[in-house]
Amino acid sequence: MRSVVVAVVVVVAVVLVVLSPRFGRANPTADYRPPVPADALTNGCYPLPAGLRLDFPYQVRRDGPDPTVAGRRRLVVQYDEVSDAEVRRRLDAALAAAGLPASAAVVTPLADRPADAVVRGTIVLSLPAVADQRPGDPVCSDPASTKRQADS
Amino acid sequence: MTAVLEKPAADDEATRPRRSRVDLLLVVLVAAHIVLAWVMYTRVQERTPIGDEKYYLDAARALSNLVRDLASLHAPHGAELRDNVVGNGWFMPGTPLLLTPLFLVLPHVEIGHVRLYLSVVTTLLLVAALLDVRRVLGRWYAVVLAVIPGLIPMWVLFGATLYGDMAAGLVLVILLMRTIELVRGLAAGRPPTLGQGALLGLIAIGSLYLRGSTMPLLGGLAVAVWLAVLWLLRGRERRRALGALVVSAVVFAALLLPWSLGASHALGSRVVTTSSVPLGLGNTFGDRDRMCFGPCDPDSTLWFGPVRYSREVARATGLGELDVQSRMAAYALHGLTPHHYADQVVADFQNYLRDPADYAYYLHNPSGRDYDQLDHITTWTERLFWPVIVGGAGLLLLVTRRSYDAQLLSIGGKLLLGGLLLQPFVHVAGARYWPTAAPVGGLGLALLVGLVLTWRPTGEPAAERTAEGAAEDAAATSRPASRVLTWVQGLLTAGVVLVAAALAVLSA
Repeated sequence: MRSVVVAVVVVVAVVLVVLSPRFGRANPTADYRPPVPADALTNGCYPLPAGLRLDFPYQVRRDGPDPTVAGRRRLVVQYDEVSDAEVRRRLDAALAAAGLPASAAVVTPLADRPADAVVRGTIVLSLPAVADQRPGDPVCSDPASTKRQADS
Repeated sequence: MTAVLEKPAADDEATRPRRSRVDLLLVVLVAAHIVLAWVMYTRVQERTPIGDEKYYLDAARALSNLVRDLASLHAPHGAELRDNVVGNGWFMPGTPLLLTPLFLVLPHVEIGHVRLYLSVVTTLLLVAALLDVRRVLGRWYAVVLAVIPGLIPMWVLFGATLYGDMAAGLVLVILLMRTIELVRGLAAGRPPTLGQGALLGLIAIGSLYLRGSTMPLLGGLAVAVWLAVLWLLRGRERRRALGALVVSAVVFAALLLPWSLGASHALGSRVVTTSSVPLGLGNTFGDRDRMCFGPCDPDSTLWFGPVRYSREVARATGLGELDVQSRMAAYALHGLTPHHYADQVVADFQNYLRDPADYAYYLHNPSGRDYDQLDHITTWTERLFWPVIVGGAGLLLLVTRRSYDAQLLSIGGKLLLGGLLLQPFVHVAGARYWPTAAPVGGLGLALLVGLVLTWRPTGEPAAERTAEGAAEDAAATSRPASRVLTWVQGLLTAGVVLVAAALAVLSA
């Protein structure tokens, strides 16, 4: 009797599996794994000044109007893997290429930085204010991508 | 309840009617559970998925699509599986696997039917656990389990959710029963068959797929069984038993491997079960303002914010996101003192035990379910939760010499509960975790009540005492208590007491 039940269950299962493509396809939403947001400096919304390019690994942490100086933009990025001296050197070159003074970037090494740290410090850039270059594009109103947070 | 631990004895005219009455009581209690499960289901049948339920639902959909693809000889949709089944690597896909047959037949099934399906599955699982407990420990143990936690409203309500915690607890009960049965056999000189070994591995991997947090206790249980084989058997029997345990381990590993490989491949780092420990440690014990080497983005949550950040760092550096998360956690944990750690563990235990019906509020459907019922759920859950605590705490502290079987349950229960209670040491705890431990708490309660009711101040042998109690249910079956098992219990209890004392001292 038991083996008959098992056999029936197996046959029904196999039939259902074979027929399953005919029933349609489920639609998972991936809600719990949203895509990585586009980088704030390359999404086309609030680009860097012409000629300025950060040629080291970085992630933008905050962007928005500078609360202390009207008409200026305050951009906070973390730099990865490169040394403090190297990032300073590359920043100076990049700022000069964009016609900006070296004082536009303040580099602060990470506090309590472990020897094998990936994220090595923070750069605060003081830049000319920039308007949204692609108004209406949903990406440009998404703080996950622009890093323009409500409280920044 | 009079017998401490009994298994069915030979029928005789005196005990048969009493035993059938206990069985009748068990049937009534199961019927009461089914009624309660129906009431709980109707509360949440229209409730849209909350929190982690969204993952489980998506994973089930994607797994059903995988079966469809394989059945129609198409290549699996890798990105869909990566994003929906592996996701962030936070969860084992046990509930999605349970749901796959449903989504296979009804790919667009409504949430209400999903909840009904899960209610039925968890009720069947409870019945299976009760039958195993009845067979291995006896009728009264099954009766107690049918009430605690079988009639705790919130526990039953969890049966209609996609969280695997409650189902995992029931699978653990079955695993414990099979393990006790196996060790009993070893003590009688009978090695397990290869089939028994395979089944044990299957049940163990089932509990792990439902809750990744069962891994430590499965390790503890496995070590205990291996030691038992080496202790109790010699020669050919020992070799046969070890062969069965190897089969068990192979079944376990073979069924874990597809998940581990898939998750490792998708996340670019080695994942055995889940990947949540670093973030759990960092968020629970670390400085959250350092979690993203500074504060995380304020537009996201405690868990999603750090994952998004780790993926951004991974994109910039080429490292794996899990590697980045480990470094983030280490940075957030910098400067953690033993006092702060212990303080947080104590807070976690409070969260674990406080508001056992908290999820009834999360799952409350605002569109019209009555609030009076919600109050009843909370009240009765809180009332029936205390016996779980008493049973669990008693089991952790108990050192008994009453009978061999009582000792086996005491040790197995300690390993299960001890393993489950490691969670507050590594992760934010909440009102969702107790349902896994509740059935073991119920068994602990049954053991304690049995020991109290059969306690005699005289020094009469345990076997005689239980034989006396057997007039009600079944005869004593137990071998005489073992001194070694008394020591093992003592060691485990001492460990529990030491950890508790250390926490108390460090958090003071």
